[in-house]
Amino acid sequence: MATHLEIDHFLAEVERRAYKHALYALHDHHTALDVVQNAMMKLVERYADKPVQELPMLFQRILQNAIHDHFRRAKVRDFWVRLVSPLRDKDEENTETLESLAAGAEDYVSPSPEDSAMERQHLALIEQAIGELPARQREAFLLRYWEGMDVAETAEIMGCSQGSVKTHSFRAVNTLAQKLKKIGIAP
Amino acid sequence: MNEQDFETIGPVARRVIGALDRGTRHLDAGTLSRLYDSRRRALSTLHAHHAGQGLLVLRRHPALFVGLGLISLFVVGLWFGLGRFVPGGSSVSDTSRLDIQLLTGELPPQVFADWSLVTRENVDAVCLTDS
Repeated sequence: MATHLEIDHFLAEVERRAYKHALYALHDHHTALDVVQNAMMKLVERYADKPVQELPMLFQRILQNAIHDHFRRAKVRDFWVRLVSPLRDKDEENTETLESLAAGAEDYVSPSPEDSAMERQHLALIEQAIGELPARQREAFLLRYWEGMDVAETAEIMGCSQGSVKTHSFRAVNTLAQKLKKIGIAP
Repeated sequence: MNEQDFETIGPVARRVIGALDRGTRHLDAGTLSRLYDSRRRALSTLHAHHAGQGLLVLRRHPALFVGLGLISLFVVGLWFGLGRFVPGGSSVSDTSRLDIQLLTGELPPQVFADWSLVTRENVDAVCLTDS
């Protein structure tokens, strides 16, 4: 069973990456923070009695499920909104989308006086490229390479086969390589 | 990430992961504060969980609650039941006397398996297996 201190250390270590995971998927700062908080609460409420070694995988699974749940709820909400207001102004929709994109772009920039403007720009572009990946590719890439999960663990978290994980990861790396090359940050 | 992984995923992924890691080190103060609050809130749930663990465990596992109740009832029933058949219990001297009677053949060897024999023997020390 994980101790209070172990859980604290684990959450402290994972919270920033978890926030970024959620942000890349949801493109909204506040929603991402809410999702991370809910994931932390669920982990502690349900799995505090598990060994500390199992926490990373459990947390990632909870986080991914929370992100998927958010999309499901948004889908249902959009369905009812469209049903209730069929004469919604098209221009208004476009304006909202642009606004949300602008807000998302602001979130991607991490202001830091130490970093050079170039580095910040590169970071923003890379994060944008990650955010633009298809959801499954992004999940596979981040879990596999950022969180350091192996193929089997990633497959279990994503609820798919190990072959699918390899395919998603491979495609994600290829897509990122093309995008980085296009924006002039090829390694 | 270990070195072997980096070799297999190639320079693109390495570049991206490096940038993402740097990005997490430069989150703004508001975001960090909110993450810290979230962590504290989650851990306070853990405190509450530990404080009322016994009750919570029973609430979360009703079968365990029912099982413990049945076991308690059985133990209490057994206690009162035995109390009826063995009034006052047996003392050391009673046991020694019974042993002597067993050795001398006054009582049959299976007397200890029969509570009614023991009870009656305590009242009146007569061989109970006259047949």
